[in-house]
Amino acid sequence: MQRRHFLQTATAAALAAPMTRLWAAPAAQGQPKFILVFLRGAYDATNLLVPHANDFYYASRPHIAVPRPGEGADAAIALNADWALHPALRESLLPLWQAGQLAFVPFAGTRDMTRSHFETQDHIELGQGTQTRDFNDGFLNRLVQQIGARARPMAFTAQLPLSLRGTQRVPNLAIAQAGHSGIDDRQRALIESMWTGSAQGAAVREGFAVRQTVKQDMQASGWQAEMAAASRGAVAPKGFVAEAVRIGGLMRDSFNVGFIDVGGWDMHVNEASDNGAKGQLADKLAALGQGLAGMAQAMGPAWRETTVVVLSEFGRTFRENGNRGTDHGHGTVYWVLGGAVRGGRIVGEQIVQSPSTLNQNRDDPVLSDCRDLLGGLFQRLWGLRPSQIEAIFPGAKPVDLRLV
Amino acid sequence: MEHRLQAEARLSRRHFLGGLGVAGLGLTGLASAAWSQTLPAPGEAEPAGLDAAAHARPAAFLDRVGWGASAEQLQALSRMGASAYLDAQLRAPLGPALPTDLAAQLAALPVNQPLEALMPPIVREERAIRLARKNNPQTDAAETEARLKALNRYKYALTQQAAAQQVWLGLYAQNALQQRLSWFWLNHFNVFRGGHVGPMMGDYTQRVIAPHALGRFRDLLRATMFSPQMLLYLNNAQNARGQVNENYAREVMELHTLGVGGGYTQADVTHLARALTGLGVDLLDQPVRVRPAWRADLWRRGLVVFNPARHDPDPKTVLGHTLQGRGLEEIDEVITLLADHPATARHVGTQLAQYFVADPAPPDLVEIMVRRWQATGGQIAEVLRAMFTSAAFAASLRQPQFKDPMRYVLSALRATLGGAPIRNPQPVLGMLARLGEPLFGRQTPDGYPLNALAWDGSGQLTARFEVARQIGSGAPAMFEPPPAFLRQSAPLVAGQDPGPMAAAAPKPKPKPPHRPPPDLARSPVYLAQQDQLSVATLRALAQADNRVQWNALWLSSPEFMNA
Repeated sequence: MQRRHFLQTATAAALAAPMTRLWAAPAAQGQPKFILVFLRGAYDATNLLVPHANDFYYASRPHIAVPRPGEGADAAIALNADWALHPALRESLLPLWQAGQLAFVPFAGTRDMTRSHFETQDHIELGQGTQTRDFNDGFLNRLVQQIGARARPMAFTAQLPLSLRGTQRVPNLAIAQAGHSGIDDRQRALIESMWTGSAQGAAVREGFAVRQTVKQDMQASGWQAEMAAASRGAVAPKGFVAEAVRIGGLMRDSFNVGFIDVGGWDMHVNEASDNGAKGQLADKLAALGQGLAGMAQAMGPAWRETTVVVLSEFGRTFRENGNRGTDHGHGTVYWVLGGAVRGGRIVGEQIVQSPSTLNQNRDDPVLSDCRDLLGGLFQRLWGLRPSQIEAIFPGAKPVDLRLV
Repeated sequence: MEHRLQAEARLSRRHFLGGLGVAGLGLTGLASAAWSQTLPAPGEAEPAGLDAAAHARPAAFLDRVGWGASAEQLQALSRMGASAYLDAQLRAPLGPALPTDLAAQLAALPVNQPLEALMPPIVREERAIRLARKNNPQTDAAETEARLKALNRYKYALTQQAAAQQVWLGLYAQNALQQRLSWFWLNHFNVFRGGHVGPMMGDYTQRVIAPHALGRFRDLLRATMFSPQMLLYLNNAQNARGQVNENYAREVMELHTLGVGGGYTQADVTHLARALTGLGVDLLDQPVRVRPAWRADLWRRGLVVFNPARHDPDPKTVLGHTLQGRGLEEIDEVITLLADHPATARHVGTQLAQYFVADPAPPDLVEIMVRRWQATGGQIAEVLRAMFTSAAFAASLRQPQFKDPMRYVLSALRATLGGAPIRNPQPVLGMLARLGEPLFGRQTPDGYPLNALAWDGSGQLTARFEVARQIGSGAPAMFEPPPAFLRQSAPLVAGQDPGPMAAAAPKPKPKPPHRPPPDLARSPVYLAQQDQLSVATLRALAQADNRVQWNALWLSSPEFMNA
């Protein structure tokens, strides 16, 4: 038997009955906004949310553990008696935690045990029951259908992700490509006329329309000024950080369901250099944190109604491998941040990791199911009825973790 | 155990969902090679069916059996007929048959040197730079940084040379089907250009993949498994006894052979990883020293080394088979196990049918291909012949598929270009990157998606119309002098004489001679496709104000983007 116990007495009451059906959502103030950030490649959650009181962690990761809180300048930052934050997020996300706008859900994930990146990403993005597998029916598309006419979805990606594919048309645009277009209005009308009646006809019209919206938005908001503010006068942000700030501005003005993905987390080799506080993972976490903080800032007052969920397909092995890296695992840590988030908490059922409590003595078990968790969150955010949640996540049992 | 049960449950669910029965697998093993070679498989089209279908839609046929129609290929097709054309394309020794100048130019590209000549100097220079930084962090900082920059530029140049070569081959090689298939396998056995892999992409495309593209799948699998590119990219180079790294072992089963529903377990992954311990890479090409007892088992070819000292000798069981051999023999056993597994024929056959015929792959067609695969021991050319001569293929020419960016860009350029080969492939590489499918740019081992849904999002369509405009204008930059990366053959450090061939400081660009935009309305490819255009497309084309606009509209039409 797995020895499970609750670390957070404050939320123990809510957790003790994990299958509790939800109660009505609080009255929405303004329209809620939701952004999903998908970390593709399975980031090493064990080094993000460090079990700093657990000697087994330090024994399992002799080369890549993050130093205990208090042990030097690059030590983990204690969040409570059990968990500590990776120091790469000190400047960017620790302030959000302190402001109660950031929560973590450890032991989160899916029932998929293939440990395949692609299989598990698909599983999450489709979010369907066990009996079906329709690659044109993603869960965010079903969410958009349930939100109805209020929904303004957008994928900030070069390709429309599986999660947003489906019967509802959803635009996509890679922010890095949102530059000047050489196609004038007349050419645009002629192109649209050729595609009318074809399978992609609606997408063609939408693509031109969205590009125009984005262009106008970016001109009106002066996003360069926002970016300079977000970097606090430091070197101009680039890559993900720059994109995230622009996305924040677009989400503030024009959209309310957004999707972003960030790749490159599959670190089988040299994930850390001197110790877990430095190296590849630390650098990527730092950029991600800066991007999210910049996005929050760019959203301005709309941040109050915004909820961002950061997730990854699975976690990694609790023990390091032979190459200062980690291999494919199971449970991971989801991040939930936003102005309306009830943060400053480690949320959901938890265990103390040990050889007997790990899944297959290898990786974190999954104690908070992705569909149950997101179903509960969506129910609160938009005040959706149970039948609507059922339409988004067939067969799921929404759990209210009171994240917002 | 629980894992195995789950995997089996998933397998049966998938087959149920896909409408595919597993019952056929057991029976087909009985069919002898001779039987399947003499009798057409059920569902196979009469050759006349293929010839008639291709005659009605020659551009569509060439869009499937290669990288798209060109004036020259339309002539060949009309002269030979589709069956003979297909037969010629399926013969492996056809060769690229490039124009002489272009062939010589490609052969001389530094990236095409043998890896033993190419890589050790790069790695030695990297080490020297690291050492200089460590020993004299202050004094020589500027010089060290300059050396590092020069080295990185060189590595980038080599990678770009390999990518440019793929563009030239895609545009001008006569063996268009083998070229297209080489891209399919490159994507199937994907590696990413980062780190040391990029400079070795010329070797990976031309020596690892291309020679086997129409050969036996087992040989292709072996070639990738024993390539330094794959060993580095999926970390088997670091996989050693007591330090097992299972990255490659997992992906070779999940992506390259069996498929995720193929019935393997976590235990199979771990045991396969242990079997592959010791198979690694030595980029410095130095003698390996091992104890005398191991010398007989030490093996190397090029930069690939099997080091028995790093190999786990304990017994392993993979897919229910206990491996009998030792050392390298175990790896040979594993290659046979994976290549000959029925799930591999089905997984790879389904992907081929999806890519070349229809998405989703027609189940009956997949059955035909699986049977052919098993009857011929995985001869790719024969599996393709069964696919292209099937009734499903002939019928599919009337049901065009949305092209992915690689197909789109190459087919648009092939329809547009004529005469002398382009001099500067950089704009083409830029188009592919802009459309989200850059050569060697897929970071994850799954390769680019092959289904239309991955490419026809609204933002992708908008970007594609802009590329159509660029190509329609003739993209004159393609005829400017070659970019610096094509001329670089060694790292260049500031202060050294770069020599006459090298990339010097940017000179003022001579203005390229004016090239009028091509007259696509009179091009053979348009004329071959004209009678299939919709009224809406013809009406839009009739409203074009000028030639560039007309070209851009045709290349933006649904009929051009689907084939």
